[in-house]
Amino acid sequence: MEKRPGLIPELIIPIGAIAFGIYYLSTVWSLPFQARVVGIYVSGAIAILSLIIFVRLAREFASGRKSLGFRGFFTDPTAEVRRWGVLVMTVLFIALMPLLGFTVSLFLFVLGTVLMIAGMERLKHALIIASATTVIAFAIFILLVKVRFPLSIVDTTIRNWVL
Amino acid sequence: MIGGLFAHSLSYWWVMIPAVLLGNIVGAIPGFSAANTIIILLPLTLSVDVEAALIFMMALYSASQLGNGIPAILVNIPGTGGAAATTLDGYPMAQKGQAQRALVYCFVASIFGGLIGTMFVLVMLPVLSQVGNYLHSVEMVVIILFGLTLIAVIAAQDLVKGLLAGMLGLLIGAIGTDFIYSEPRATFGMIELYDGVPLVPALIGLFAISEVFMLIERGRVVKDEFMDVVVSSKFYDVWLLVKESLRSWFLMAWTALIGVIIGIIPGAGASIAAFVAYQQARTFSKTPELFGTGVPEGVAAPEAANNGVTSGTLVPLMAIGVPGGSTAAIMMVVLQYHGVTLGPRLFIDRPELAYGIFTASFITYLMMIPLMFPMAQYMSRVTTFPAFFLVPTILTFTLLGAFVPRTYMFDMGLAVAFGVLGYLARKTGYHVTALLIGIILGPLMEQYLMRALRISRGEVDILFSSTLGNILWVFLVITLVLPYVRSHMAKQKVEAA
Repeated sequence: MEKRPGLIPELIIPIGAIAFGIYYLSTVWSLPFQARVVGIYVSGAIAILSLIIFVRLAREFASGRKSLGFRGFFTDPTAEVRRWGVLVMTVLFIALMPLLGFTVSLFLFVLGTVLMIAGMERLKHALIIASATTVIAFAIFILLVKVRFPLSIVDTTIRNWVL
Repeated sequence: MIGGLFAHSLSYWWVMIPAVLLGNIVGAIPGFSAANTIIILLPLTLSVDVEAALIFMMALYSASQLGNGIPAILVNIPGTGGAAATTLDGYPMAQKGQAQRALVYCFVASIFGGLIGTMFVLVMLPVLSQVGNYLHSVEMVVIILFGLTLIAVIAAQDLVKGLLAGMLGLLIGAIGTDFIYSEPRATFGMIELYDGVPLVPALIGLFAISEVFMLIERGRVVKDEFMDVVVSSKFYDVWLLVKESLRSWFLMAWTALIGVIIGIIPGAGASIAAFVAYQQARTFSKTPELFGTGVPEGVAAPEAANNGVTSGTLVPLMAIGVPGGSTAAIMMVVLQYHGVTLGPRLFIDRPELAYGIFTASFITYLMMIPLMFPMAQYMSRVTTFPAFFLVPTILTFTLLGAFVPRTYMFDMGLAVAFGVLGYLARKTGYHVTALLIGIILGPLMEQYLMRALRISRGEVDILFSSTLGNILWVFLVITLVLPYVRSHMAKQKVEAA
């Protein structure tokens, strides 16, 4: 079985940095030199450093110290499922807050995240943590600091009831 | 007279205590800061008498600087950019079961740095108020370069990866409208990025969200073999650690003075001060190779500098009526509302206000001793909490914190994007602090460099045209070369033996 770490994860940052450098230069190319100077020098440095990394990885691959693939990047499958689950929950929380409002979206987000990490057997813990976090966050952000988060009828009712 | 001012400030203890407690909380939550908290509490500060308002704002500002370091140590999340340097050694200490030790060093350095900074400002005020006149774009370029060289220090383990992370950070920091021609650069067509990459979502993503992803893998902050050390820590240990940390008084004193000087420069601020202080502490350390692995000096230096900044930033405000930072600007608004005219006359007409702000700061730092140290033992237990508790709590307060400064939902999404970038960077051996240094210092560097080149009509010679600038260049070269000279000398010594 293959035990050497994969080199593909190591390519993500340098390739991403080069792509961003090219995009950056494309947006400033028509500007006077003074406005381009930072982009040119920094993107140039990124290209040189990335090239050094590519050469280093190629040598490691050639000498058998690295393999193709993602080996070593993804660890324990349970942790991977939890991590992706938490990422999806976070994105959903941000996307749904304008629709569901602050309180409901936050409660569901915390509840889902705890269950995702600890499993259904911790339902009681999840409910306590979700309730406590939502109450504290509501008190700080909505009642005390009055941050303008998207509010639903649930939020305004609670706020009017408390104040 | 000074004794009377101290006594007068002390009579406002009832304002200081809630301000210290509130300052610690807002300092510890990313997205909140002393500046936006004072804005929120403007109705309060405008309705009380001017001295109470000023003391409240000063106490809150000082305490928030100390509060920044707490999450940086416990969960690798700096409250603001100024505490990012604290994570470099604070978090490794927490992982080794030394959270209590790191917190005590953080509190001692913050309080000691704050006290030294305040005393220095009180004594040297007439001289310090002139410093701003001598620091122009050229000198600022060199000062920021001191901070940027920290990228190379962080990159010591893998220079190429460290420099690449730093360069990527610089390029990300250059997103947004150009300083001179006002043309949008690399904004992906998003109007939310026209003002540049907002620091709070970047900070939250790179540190908090990426840390959460790592935490899911590890289960808790502290490594299992050090659990007993954390759980068995006692209150008495705090006082032993205070004694131990005070042995680094010289380091704390001179890094606090770095903070004061950088604080005086309008627009510079705690981030530059903390990075420069960390870099200097490492350069002059007997064991520079241990920095980044969890050494207490790596916590003490940036924290002392952070708190030195608080006094420094008020010097131009009180002496010439020019605020040194955003918090000082809001203080100016409150003072003007109360009919206070800032400037040299203030020291003659109302010394209880002009000097009182510094004596109040001094007493605030003294008050933090009984308020903060007893909590260190309990705060350190956070590192033993399981991931299923920490992950949702951290995500909630940091994501909501990302929304606070600009109230854009976009900023919460941006924080997640930076979180993914930070996670990828950590998993593949790139240092997120190097990325952050580039994002924070890049735009400042560009701004001052462009200004200098504009003045000289594109002539690079301007960078070597001032005496003070040239002295700073010499110091910069010494700072960069010294570690290599010392390591070469140490090698020769070993060979000779």
